Amino acid sequence: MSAPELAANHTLAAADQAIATAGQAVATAHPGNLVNAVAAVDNTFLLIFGISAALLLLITAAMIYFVIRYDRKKHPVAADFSSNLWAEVIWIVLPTLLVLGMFWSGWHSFRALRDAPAGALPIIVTARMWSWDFEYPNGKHSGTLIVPVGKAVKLSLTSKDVIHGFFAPAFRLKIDTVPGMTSHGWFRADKEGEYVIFCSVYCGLQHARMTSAIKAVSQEAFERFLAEKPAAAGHPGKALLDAKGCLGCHSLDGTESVGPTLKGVYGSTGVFVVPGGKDKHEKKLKLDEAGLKQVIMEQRPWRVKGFEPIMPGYADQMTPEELAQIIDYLKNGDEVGKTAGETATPASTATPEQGRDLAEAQGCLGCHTTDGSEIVGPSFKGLFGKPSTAKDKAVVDRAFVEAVLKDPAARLGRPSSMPAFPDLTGIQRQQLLLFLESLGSTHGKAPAMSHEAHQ
Amino acid sequence: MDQTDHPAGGLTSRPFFGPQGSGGPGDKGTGLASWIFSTDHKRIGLLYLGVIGLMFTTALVLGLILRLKLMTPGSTLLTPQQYNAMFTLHGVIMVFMVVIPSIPASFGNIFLPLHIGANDVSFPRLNNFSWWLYVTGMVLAITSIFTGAGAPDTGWTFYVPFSERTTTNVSLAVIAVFILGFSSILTGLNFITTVHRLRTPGMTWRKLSLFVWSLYATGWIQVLATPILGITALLIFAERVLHLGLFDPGRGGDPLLYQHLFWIYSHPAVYIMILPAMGVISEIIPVFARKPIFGYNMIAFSSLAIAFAGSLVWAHHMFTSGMSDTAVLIFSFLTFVVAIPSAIKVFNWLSTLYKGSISLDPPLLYALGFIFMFSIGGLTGLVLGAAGTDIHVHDTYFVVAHFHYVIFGGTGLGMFAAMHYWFPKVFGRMYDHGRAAWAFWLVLLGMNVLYFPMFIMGLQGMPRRYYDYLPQYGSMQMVSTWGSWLLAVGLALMFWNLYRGCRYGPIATRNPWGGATLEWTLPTPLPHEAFEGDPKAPEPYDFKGINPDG
Repeated sequence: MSAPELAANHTLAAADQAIATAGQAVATAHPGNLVNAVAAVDNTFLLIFGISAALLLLITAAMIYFVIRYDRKKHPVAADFSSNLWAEVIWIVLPTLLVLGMFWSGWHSFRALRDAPAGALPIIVTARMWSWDFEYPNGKHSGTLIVPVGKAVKLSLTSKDVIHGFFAPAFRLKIDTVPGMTSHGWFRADKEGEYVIFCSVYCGLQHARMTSAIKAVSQEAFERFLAEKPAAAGHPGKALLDAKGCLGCHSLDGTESVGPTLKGVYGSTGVFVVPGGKDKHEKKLKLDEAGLKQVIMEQRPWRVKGFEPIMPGYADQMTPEELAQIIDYLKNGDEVGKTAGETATPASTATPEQGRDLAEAQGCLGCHTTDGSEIVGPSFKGLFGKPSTAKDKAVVDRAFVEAVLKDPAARLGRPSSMPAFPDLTGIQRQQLLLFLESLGSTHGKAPAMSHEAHQ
Repeated sequence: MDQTDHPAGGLTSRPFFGPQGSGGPGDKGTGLASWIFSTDHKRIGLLYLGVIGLMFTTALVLGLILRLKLMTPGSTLLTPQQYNAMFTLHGVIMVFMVVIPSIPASFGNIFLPLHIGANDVSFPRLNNFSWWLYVTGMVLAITSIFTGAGAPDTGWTFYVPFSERTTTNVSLAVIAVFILGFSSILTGLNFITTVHRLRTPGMTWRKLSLFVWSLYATGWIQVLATPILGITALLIFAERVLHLGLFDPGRGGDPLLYQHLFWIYSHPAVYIMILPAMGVISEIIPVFARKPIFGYNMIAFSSLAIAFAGSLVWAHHMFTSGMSDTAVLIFSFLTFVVAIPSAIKVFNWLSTLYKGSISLDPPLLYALGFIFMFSIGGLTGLVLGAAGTDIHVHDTYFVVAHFHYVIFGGTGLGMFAAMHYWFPKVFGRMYDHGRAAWAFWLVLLGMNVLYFPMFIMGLQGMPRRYYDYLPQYGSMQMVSTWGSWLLAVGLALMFWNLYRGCRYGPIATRNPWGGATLEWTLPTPLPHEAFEGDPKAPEPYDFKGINPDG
């Protein structure tokens, strides 16, 4: 290739690039494709409603007019005709033209709804009884569809159990999610805000509660959201106990190992031994905020009765805030947040949805369905209030479920393939129980629908 | 029925509902057995009318309870499971046990043979068997509510995979639907054969009444489409019991296959529902305008066109299902094609009124109510046929409103129009016209207050089959529930008026409306044996020399 050719090629490439850049600029100015799907659909609505209203008015007015004008008292003898070629031709041609116009307009707006613009943000939507999961390209999952404003979003949808329907009225978007099949849809939120998502295909008990939201946020907020690590489950104080190594010696479940257990430690009275004496110099200390602070932070010469004096003081390893969180955890357990303020989630927000996610994550739903069908274990649907499969046929209630979670074989009184879940925290058990209750009970009453959640 | 005081017709004929036979051999007496084993098309028609009325009342009460629950958001009155079971039953009973058999099985049975100058249908015993199949299906469907693990909670559409997985008593319900389907098939078969074989000499195809034409077209849909429903119901049963995996993607099946099978029947089924009502309207309007029906050929032809083209549009229920866009294109186009014959009928009815001599008696009121409600239902159907707009309103209250306008406002008012039109001929007495008009206006107002807000909610995105809803829909839901009460009062007044008329009304004359079809030449109430010898075929819409005698 000669030098001029190369130069020419170079110029062409540069030109291509310039065009591409210009194209991108246009695309940024009009994000997504240039067809506004919502406007296209609304135009079809207007066209059809306009023609329909005119026709309805015409038909009704003619009917009323004829009945009055040709009343038998005023018009005793009817005219005698039963056909009119021209009228009949108009009857056929006029509706045909009208419906063909409507058909074309409807098809045009359907295309706008279907053709996702190139470069749309791909999101995988998984529906399940009765919640939504949205997966972003970086692997992040969310129960709420958070999208950048002004950017086209392409959805690939499927379902884990029965057919659901993804319905976002604000974007005129509706597409069924079918198990074993992937369907597609796209939308673009042009304004920041929150838009409701409904499940449109009837899917059983909690169909009406299978709602979520599309949150359109700024590009920066969206990127922040994508980068966020999933929040650690449970109480931050518990995470600190883990991070600071406390749990290496102190259990949370009441068993004693190197050190005494932390279960129920808050508010108890610790018995300490002052070294040097022969267990004579015992010292009692109320383990409240001040007591715990002293025990944890100070390098002290005494030890807890019955244990070796090996615990270091943490004064140089722990900030006052961290200490406060740990103490809050020890005080309230997973009933988080009475004192910890905004860093923690209040326990009262344990929701059935969280329980749902937990049941999914822990694998419960592998054996227990939510639709009443039986796979391996009994279905969660309507479980509460039913006689259990335990040997004593006890009725399923909260205490029963908690006991089974701790030790299935013991509570059921028979061997069971269900594993024990001793590691669930209090709040997690709470979430699970709420979820089970939300699936209705055989005799109990329906769970209230929380309208706050939809706002 | 008061047996001793039945009104006499012009002749010394025995009314068909009186004692049968003369005490000699073959006398069936007047007992229950003389009814439920009767092969008389008129008695079978009344039997159908009775059980259909019973089922209508049942499903109507269910509907009123559903509306009461939906009056306010939140958990009131019903649990979600009860709600889901209740809307399923409302749908199953109304669709399979009320609307599909409604006009053909009752008034079709009574008047199709009479309109063509025959003394019965072609297969009277089969006719009685159809009724027994209906009753069997009905009993099984009711049984499914109270047995097994609870009433079915799938919706009347029985969509898989949900209907395969739910533990409720779906298996029994689909068997009930299967049996009800056979009842419908046999009725259709009987009608087709009767129209072909039993017309009186001189009754050419172009002298058939439009009511007969509509039943003939309906019969073909019943015979050709209903077997597919039967198979589909059986497949659900097989899936639940044998776990075949036909619709289970985990085992190579396809959930969309079920939807295709279901709608291949269930879309034509809406024409089974509406065509006979259109036939009734085509009878009533010329009689009360005393003017030949406008465009007889076009109305008769459009019934056949609807029956044919209506069989090709089923997948317009599936625009959001994930099927290919090409399929959406084709089915959207075909759907608009079906709109044309319906529009033709409405224009022809209007033209029949034009320059007529109109008497606004109750049957005509109900017929005009049909035109108004059917127009709204049909025009909103265009929104659902257009692909882009259907995506938004599919599976919302918009569809619920559209369907109820067409089926309740259309078929329902058509049925009521038929009841008021043929009442004197069947029962031999007349109801109170003023009360009938009052009831009509209450029903019409109630229907519109009940269903019109649903169009608005649907456009605002309110999905159907929701136990609970967002507060933003609260006011419309409230208004809708008020409408249901108005409607209930109107219906109660209408039925009470008809009952009063049946017991205490003045004796009806032979031809109170001045109809030109053959039944009006017969004594009132209808005699056991309608025609002695073959009657002469009349021009069904030539009113010259025929005057109301009431």
